Amino acid sequence: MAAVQFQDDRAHEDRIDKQLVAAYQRGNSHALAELYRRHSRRVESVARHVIGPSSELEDIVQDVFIELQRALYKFRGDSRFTTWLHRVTVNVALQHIRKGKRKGWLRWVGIDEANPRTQASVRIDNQIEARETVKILYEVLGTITEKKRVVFALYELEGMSLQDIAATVGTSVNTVKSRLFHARREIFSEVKRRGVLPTHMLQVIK
Amino acid sequence: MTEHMTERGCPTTEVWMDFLDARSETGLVADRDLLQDHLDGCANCTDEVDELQRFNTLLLRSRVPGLSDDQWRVLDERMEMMGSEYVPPPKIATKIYFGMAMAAALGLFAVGVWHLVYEAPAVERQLDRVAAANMASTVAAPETLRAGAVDGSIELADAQGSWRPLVTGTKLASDARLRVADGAKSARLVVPGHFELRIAGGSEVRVLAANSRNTWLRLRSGEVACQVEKRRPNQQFKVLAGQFRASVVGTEFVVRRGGEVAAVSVRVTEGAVRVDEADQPDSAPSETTTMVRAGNRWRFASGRVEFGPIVPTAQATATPAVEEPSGDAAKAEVHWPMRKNVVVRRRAPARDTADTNKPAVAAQTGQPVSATPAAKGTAKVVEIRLPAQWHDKAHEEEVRRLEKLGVNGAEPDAKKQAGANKKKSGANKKKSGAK
Repeated sequence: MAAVQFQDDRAHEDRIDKQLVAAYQRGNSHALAELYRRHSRRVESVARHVIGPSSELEDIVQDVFIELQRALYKFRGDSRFTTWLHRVTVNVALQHIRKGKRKGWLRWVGIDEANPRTQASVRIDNQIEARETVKILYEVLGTITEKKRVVFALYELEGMSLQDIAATVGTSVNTVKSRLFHARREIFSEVKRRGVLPTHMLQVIK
Repeated sequence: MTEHMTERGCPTTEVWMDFLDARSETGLVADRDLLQDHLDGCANCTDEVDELQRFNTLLLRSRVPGLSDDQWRVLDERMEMMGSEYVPPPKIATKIYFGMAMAAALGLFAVGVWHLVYEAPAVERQLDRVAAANMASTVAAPETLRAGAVDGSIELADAQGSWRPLVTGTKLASDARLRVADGAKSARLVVPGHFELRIAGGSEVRVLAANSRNTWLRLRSGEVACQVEKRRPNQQFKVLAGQFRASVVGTEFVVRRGGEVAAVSVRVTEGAVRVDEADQPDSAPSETTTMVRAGNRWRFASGRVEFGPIVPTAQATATPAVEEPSGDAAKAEVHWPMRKNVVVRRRAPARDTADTNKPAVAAQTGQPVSATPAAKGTAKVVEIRLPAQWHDKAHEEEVRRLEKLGVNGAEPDAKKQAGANKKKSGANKKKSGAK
């Protein structure tokens, strides 16, 4: 029943998104502001997990919505709006990574510079250790290919379903699975090699 | 399954990763109990699963922090401005483009034929061109506004500089100057359908433009209160004061100026006010452009700009206000609190005035509800910080906004759906017929 309710909610949200897009296509610019209100946090979250801690996150969110402004007329409503938005977000984030590569991959922003409220929510006692851990993990993520990294980040860090990832990156579910397996294996062996696995486990369910 | 087994007969790392993944979307794990049994009896696999669990812990720890509240605020403002300034081009279907191109081609052909067969006299053609040009100029020029009701005594000076009483029906031409006649405390000018000005005694306002499209004023000295009718997106109402420009999308505000610039602060308790540095009303938004929204305060002092939530100060309440009509609550303020003062107040709509919830909420949260000393006893200027309870109404607000946009998330109409299906089937028939 809960699943049915969830599906209903999701369908309802999709319909609102599509109606907002239609309103924008009819020339109502307030519809874009509403889409921003509804999805900006999600865009930020996806971008954050694809590029890691970066000072460019704010720019990426803005770029995504600028891109949206340009391209919204092309949206025909064949797919879910959020899938399309995720695709734009991933593309914009990857463009930023490619730009960053020329300057030195992933400009690092320390946890202590980031939002203190978020820090509290992840309940990390040792800030220095956490900082190092995140840094190393994203260094490791930087060693695998972009395609694998995106799938890994969206599945493991962002919690998206395989179907949604397949629609987002424009490939089949089996390809996504394959990329996920390879990414997991490569990242796991690399972090083992670097000896950064934590000594104890957190009692949490992923 | 054998492809996911090691030479020792143990499941591969991929299988254990999937085993630990509560979602199990990859479909590698067919029988959890079987795997659990194997795990209980295999030391190697126990070690591997232990490592994988620690790997998952590492992933969990890697949830990197996101944008800070300040960054979100800046981003929201940028997006707000971007949205308000962008006018999307109209969408024209490809078929219409094709139709237009065909019509244009046919038109050109017809004109060519006509020109060859019946060439009109050259004089007539010239007259037509002049008439068309005249018509085009008539259509393009925006209409200059005229003064409506004048309450009190306002004087107007034209470009030549001679002052004369402003009477109903006078055109508010560019470069005209307005002031209150000597001795009067204030006077009111109404331009129906556009705006209402209350000019304080000793003030001078220069009209840069006052037409059906734009109203641009420059406050040369003193104080002016402006109540602005709702504008269309391409209509502007701006007031320049010194080096700053206040562009308000709203109902009412007051601008006051005097002396040199020392510090400027903008406080908004409801709605939004855009503040930027500009000496021309139509210049591009400067880099310092800020959308100050309800509950926030923008301040410029000693070459630095600060932005943050409103902090009540004695200075704000000590700022003198212009004469206010009784019973109206002002909702947004912009203070230039030093020698040069600019105050922007947005007047609440009538229904909000009757809403007793807002002051009550403010009282509950202990937020300041301070009355600015008014020139006349009945005036009320109430400052309300954004109460916490309003955040709980976010969903209701969203629904209201969506309703305004005509969006309700309802299922498409069954009849329309049937119509669409019919069309589809018709198209399919056509396709099959073509085959």
